Amino acid sequence: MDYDINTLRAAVTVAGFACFIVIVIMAWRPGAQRAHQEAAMLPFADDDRVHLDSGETK
Amino acid sequence: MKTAAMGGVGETYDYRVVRQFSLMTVVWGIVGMLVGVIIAAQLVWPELNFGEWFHFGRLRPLHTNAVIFAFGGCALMATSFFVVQRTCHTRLFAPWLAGFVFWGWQTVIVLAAITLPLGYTQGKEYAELEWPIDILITLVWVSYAIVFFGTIVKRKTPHIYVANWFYGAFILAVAMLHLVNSAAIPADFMKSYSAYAGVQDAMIQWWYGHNAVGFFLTAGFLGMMYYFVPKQAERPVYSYRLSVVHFWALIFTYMWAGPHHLHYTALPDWTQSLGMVFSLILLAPSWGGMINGIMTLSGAWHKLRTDPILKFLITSLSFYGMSTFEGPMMSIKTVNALSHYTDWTIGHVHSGALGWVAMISIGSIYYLIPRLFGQEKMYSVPAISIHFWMSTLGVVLYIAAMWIAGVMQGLMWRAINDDGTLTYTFVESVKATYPFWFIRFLGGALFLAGMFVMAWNVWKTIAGQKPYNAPVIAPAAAHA
Repeated sequence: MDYDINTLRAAVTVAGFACFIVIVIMAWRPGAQRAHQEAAMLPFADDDRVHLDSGETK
Repeated sequence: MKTAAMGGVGETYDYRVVRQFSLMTVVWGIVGMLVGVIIAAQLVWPELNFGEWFHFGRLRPLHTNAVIFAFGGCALMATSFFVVQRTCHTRLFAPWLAGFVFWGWQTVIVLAAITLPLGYTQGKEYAELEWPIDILITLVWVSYAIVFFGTIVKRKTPHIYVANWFYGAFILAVAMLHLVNSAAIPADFMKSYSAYAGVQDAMIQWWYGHNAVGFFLTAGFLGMMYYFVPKQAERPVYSYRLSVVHFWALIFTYMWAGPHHLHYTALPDWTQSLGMVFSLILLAPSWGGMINGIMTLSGAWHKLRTDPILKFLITSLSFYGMSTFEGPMMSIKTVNALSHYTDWTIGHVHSGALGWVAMISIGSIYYLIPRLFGQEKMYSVPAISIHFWMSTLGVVLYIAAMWIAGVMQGLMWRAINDDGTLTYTFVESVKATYPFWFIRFLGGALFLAGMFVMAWNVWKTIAGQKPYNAPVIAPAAAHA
């Protein structure tokens, strides 16, 4: 088999797909659930309604 | 000036640049959509084309640049600067540079508004601006990236919230697209020639063009969705795991879809088929995002009845789902043989641009404005509801008219008589399209009128009010 630029292109495509499979497995691994839950709550850690007794107006 | 002692820190978020970009979103939305309504009218009444500076050919790129980069760009910058601070629990990195991003971006927009009607163009769709303006865009964009990623680096939270992943991908990908597609050899101060030639030039242009859709008009606005939908619905995103998987699927797939813009051209056949296959695959990650957003409301559907901001956000996701089904379908070569070069394409684009991009931006700006000016809510909540129905009706009129017009044009162009001659001349298809162009004009005008309702509501909400900067959450509270 001759190696040329197309061999590299095929290898990158396969590597990209393998990378995606790893990402999917990582997302489903048992430990991910807790981290995902923590991350999902980030927007709610911080109440962004207006409280005029705190913050600053100018 | 009053500084509070919440958490004893007294530090507040940098809302100034968020305020600036939020207000300009409304202004540029009106300007860009007004130009859109004008060129829609020019198609119906050709006598409205005045001279060389005010005819369709020069105003059309002004419309697309204004709505995508001025309206959409300001909405993305406003929300990303807000979201990255609020989810990283820290002030912006280099706020002075954020100020440059704002003024630099406004300068780019004004330069576009001057040079495009004058006829200065690189002739690349959505990348028309000539090389000196391209250099300014690069400077502004690099500054934007420094402020955004700098803020993520100095975050006080262990995780990077998913919205920031989408905003980050949008910023990185647009930088790459702009640099590659705008590469050109200057001939003089306002004239340049593309660094590429022939079909390679066409392929690079549509690699750029479709990823402008995929990263500017999709990834960025998904970032918006992942913050404002959960916040307005007051519940966390339906599945964080799904958000991770569909993020990477979207990133891996979008880059390859561009060739579907060049079906049946000089582009090699295998490249066209590759573009079509990847466009079909794109349905999965697109619907992953749509389902994740809409299902965030599960258990709280009743909120849709009373909350017009949530109506904007959730309806935008419905339009996102529809247009990301329609797009893959249109990329199938046999369907494309009918749809390409017809008004169906224009209808598809506006189902995405008005239904998805504009409506999620409008919902997010309604969320932001009161919070940036020390108010609990917008001046008039019923006016938001009126705006919502004007927008929805406007989009539906627009896209239905363009679907009918497009399919009709495609069928007329391909109709042949028994002896092999064409059944219709081109101008007959133009004549048959007039009624639908008029309906499209009405739909667009209704959408624009809704933006004036928004401008009035925003004005009444902020007039006489002082800008408000919320306190940065104290680290102890963040980890409680």
